[in-house]
Amino acid sequence: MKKILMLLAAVLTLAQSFAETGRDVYLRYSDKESVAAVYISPVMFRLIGKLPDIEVSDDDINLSPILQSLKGFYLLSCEDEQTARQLKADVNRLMDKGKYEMLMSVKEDGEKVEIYIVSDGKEVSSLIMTVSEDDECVFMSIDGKMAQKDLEKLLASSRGE
Amino acid sequence: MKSLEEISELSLDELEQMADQSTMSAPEGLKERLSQQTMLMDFLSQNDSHPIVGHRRVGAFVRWSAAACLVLLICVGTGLSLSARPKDTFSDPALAYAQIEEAFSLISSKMEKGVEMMEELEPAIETTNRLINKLY
Repeated sequence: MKKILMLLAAVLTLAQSFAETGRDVYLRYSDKESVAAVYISPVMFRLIGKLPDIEVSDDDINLSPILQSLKGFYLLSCEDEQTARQLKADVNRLMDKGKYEMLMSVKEDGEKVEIYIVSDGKEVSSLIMTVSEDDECVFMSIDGKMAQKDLEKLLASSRGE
Repeated sequence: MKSLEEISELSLDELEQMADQSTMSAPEGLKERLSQQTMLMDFLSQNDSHPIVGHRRVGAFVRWSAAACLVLLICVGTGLSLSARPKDTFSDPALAYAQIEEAFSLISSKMEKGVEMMEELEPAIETTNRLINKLY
């Protein structure tokens, strides 16, 4: 009985250590020394929405349609090789859970870019992008209820389409 | 009547003979009671290493208490991890907006790169499709 309880405790502790969302990945790595971390909360997004004069020039992207729907923005930039490797492994484990769907993967000049989303066809509730090179890794996660059409327009607008 | 010392010197056979010759009868049910006691003593001697009913209850209580404590610890740990909130990096909304703009710009540029690569491969994809269509 003791062995069963110990085994159960070990399995549950191990399960807790695995990241489940982009937020969990951010929480795991944001305090590490070799990692630069940026977090923007839902409260800050509401404040951004209330800014009176957000200049939206022709070159800038118009974020106003989806700003209010964003719930969290997480950015990690890792320049330590070992930490970058761990971060990539964690992201791969997160993707293996099956919640995220790969939108795009591009590999060029030693740089690998992968974009994953969680979408029901109409709304995108989470978007994760990773840019990884040999010893660097950038992880970006955006949570919210973004209308897919608005997101597509937003991403297309910077391409000048 | 013999004394205790004399009785202790007698052999088992002699004691049995004396009992057979005795006019006193054993109380009723003595034989059954004696056999029950003997059986109980045999049972107890076999189960010395195992807890008897009272000890079994205590053991089960300890096990269930340990399991309940473990579940409580796991729930507290899970609750603490779920409630962990990171701190806002920016205190100025304008700076936060600039960061978001930069992030979406980066996503857009990477997606554009992917689309460009797809467009470069389009002739090769069309040729492949034509060949497959010819086969079928």
